Amino acid sequence: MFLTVILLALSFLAIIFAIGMLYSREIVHAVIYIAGLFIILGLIYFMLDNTFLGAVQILIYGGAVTVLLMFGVMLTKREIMDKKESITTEYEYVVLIALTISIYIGTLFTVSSYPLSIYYMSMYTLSTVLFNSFIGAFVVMGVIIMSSIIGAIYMVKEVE
Amino acid sequence: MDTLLFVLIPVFPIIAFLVIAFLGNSMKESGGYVALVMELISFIISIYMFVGVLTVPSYSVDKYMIWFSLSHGPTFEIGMLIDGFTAIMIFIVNLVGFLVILYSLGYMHADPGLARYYAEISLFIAVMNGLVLSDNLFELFIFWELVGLCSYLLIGFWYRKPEAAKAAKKAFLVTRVGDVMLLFGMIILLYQSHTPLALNFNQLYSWAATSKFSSAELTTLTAATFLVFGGAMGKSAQFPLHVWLPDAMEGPTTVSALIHAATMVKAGVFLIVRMMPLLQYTPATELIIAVIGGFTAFFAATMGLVAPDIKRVLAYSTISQLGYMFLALGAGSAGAAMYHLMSHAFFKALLFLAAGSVIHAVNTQDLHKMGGLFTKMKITAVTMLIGGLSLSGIPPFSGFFSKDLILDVVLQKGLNNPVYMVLYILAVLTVLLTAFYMFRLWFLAFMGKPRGYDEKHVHESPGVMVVPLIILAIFATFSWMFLLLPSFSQILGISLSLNIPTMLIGVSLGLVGIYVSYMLYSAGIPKKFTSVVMKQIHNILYRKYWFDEVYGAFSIYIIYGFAKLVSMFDKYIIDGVIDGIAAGGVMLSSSLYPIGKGLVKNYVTLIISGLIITFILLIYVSPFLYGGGI
Amino acid sequence: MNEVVLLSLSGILLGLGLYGVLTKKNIILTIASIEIMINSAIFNFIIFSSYNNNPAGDVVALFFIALAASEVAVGLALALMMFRIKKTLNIDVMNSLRW
Repeated sequence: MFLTVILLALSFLAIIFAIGMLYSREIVHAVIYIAGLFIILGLIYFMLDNTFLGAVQILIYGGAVTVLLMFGVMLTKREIMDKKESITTEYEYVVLIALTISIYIGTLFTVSSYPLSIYYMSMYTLSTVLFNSFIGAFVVMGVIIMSSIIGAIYMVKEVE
Repeated sequence: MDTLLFVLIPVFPIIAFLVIAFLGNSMKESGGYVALVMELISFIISIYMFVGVLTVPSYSVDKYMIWFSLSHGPTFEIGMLIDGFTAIMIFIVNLVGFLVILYSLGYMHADPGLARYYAEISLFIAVMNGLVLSDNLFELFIFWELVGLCSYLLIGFWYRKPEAAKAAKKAFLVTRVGDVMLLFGMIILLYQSHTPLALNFNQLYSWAATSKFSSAELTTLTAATFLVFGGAMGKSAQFPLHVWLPDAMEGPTTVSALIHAATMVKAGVFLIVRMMPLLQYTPATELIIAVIGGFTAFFAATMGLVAPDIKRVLAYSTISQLGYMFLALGAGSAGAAMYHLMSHAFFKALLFLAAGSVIHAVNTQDLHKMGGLFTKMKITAVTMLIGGLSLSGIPPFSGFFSKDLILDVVLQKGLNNPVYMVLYILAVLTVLLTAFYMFRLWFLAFMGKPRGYDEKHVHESPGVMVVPLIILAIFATFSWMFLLLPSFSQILGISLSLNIPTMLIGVSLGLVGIYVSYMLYSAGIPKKFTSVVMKQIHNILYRKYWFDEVYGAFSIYIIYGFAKLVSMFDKYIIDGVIDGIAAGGVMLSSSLYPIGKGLVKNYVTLIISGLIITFILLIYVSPFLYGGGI
Repeated sequence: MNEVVLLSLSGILLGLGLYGVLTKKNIILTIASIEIMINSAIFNFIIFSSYNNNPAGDVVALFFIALAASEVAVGLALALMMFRIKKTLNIDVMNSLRW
């Protein structure tokens, strides 16, 4: 029960942050909101006894991705300083998405049986699986990240 | 005898082919010596085989190795069947091949395409040996196609000449008709026989000997043997597929001598010789073979009467003589056919090479422009005379004995069967025609006065060309002495028995033919015919019975018309469907064109709407349709 | 109850991210919205992984996090390119997908 209350509170906060990000006029504020959303999601992972991924979420999303977005804002700030975001609500999208999501949530309630308890996911278990069953995928992932980073650098390189 | 040694007979010419094909351009004339030496080795091995088989006449060995086998199907092998027929044929091929290469050293001297020539002729000898050694129809067919290829390449050797290119194409296409028939015959035989080794000759023989055929099976077997004979018909230029051989004379004369007189065109005869044990169960096919052979012998000889080209006369003569061989085969005597094949190979190669020597000297093939060469080219003239006498069946030359054997065989058969009697009369008439056209050629070329060639440059050919002529003349004269060997007679199943009446008829008709041509042509070209009938006959013969025109019209109007129809179907119906699909796609796309406006988010909206609809269908609709749940 | 709350949160975040992608004019905010969507997917993986005691979900989530990070890098590089060429970050300028 205690867990449910905390989760509800955190969910509420997460939704607030997401809406805040969508409706902030200053783009820097939007980035700060999104950082808050990421950190709240990391906290929820901790609540689910998944400490390692919680830490990863906070470090990578709350830290690295946010900082990257900040840099993006900085590097293009001429325009951002000049102009505020215009906030309008486009109701056709709202209706479409709200309908879909409510159908989805509705289905969640129709499912009769969920697993009962939350299991503790130890880092030991995770790393054992990661470096045994998924070692090939892990290596491929490294190559993909490497090549995407190289591609990104190549794109932003100054062209004479 | 060490049988495995005989594998080397085709191998040496192949080595020559590879060496000359890859290094020939830097070797120039010496490429000929490579071909000559390699062929000499093969020739020596083939003599060894010939002598070995003559000492053991019943020799028959089948050495093979499995090539591949189909599951639940026949096993294909490649191998060698060595028996009397193989040995005789191998001996002929390699003897003539060796002499022709020797002759080529002089005849083809300083030709720009020399390397190509020697490479192709070595390849030809190799695959021809392979054909003769084959121990199953499948292997034989492969070599059959390869000799066809070599024939095509060598007819079109001077490919810059449009006639040569056309003739090569014609030969290839016409023989292809026969090859397709042979292939179908093989397929029928393969499915009918079910021998453990597919189409192996010995197994086919024992299969045919042991099985009791129902009448339906006999019909199938008749169809198969007839189709196999169709292949022989194409390769051996029998009516109605004879049209390619006269045109094939556009190739070098050596090629005509080797391929289109002595060896390749004999492959058809050899194939039927191999099929003889099956043919004896299908008398209908035998009769067809005899009729086509006898008719072709006469028919080709008539066309030879008026041909103006020295090589074409010989080509018609070849067709005619091949007709004799098929006539003998149709009369059921493989031995007589094989023996005539042998003597014909010698005297026809001799005639061609002598003709080549003449052409070499006067630089024309038109008989009307020759004349009076006897004093200038004595050896050529005498050797050609020997060849001509042999061809005309005058004793004691070998052609007399072989032709007499065939006439004898056909007459024996004709005493019981009127069809064979008609064929016998045709064959006897052909003897007259043969003697006439042969001596017409000889008198026009060597007697009378010179008619329009450069007399100063005419001289006897060099030694390398004369020596093969002399050797072949010796063989053309004395090869009947083989028949004195008991083992040779035993292999062929024939003997040197002279049937006096037949012999007298043959010889006297031959002498009449020679006398008539002497009267007409010894003094030069006679005056034109005056009577209308004779003029018409001359015209018909000169135009070769309009066979080329009829075949041309057939291919233009019927085959080309059909091809056009098919092309229309392709263009309008098949292409129409495909173009219609493409046009529909274009129409759909242009009707959807205004929707997205090029903005990414519009596309994203559409994609996500589609995804949502799909998921809703999947989760909420499909359980009702197919059962199950979330 | 907990799992319904969490899954609902994941769905709502997905919807909000989608709304952001569809309506935001600024390309950087579009990228941020895409990040929210990816995060909701990762969240879903982690929920099921935790409830089913199956580490494979966590592993996939880990891979997704790594992939999303590199995706942000590429996306920002694209934004910079766009800014350099078009001198603006307005995504509606990019309409050359149809010509």
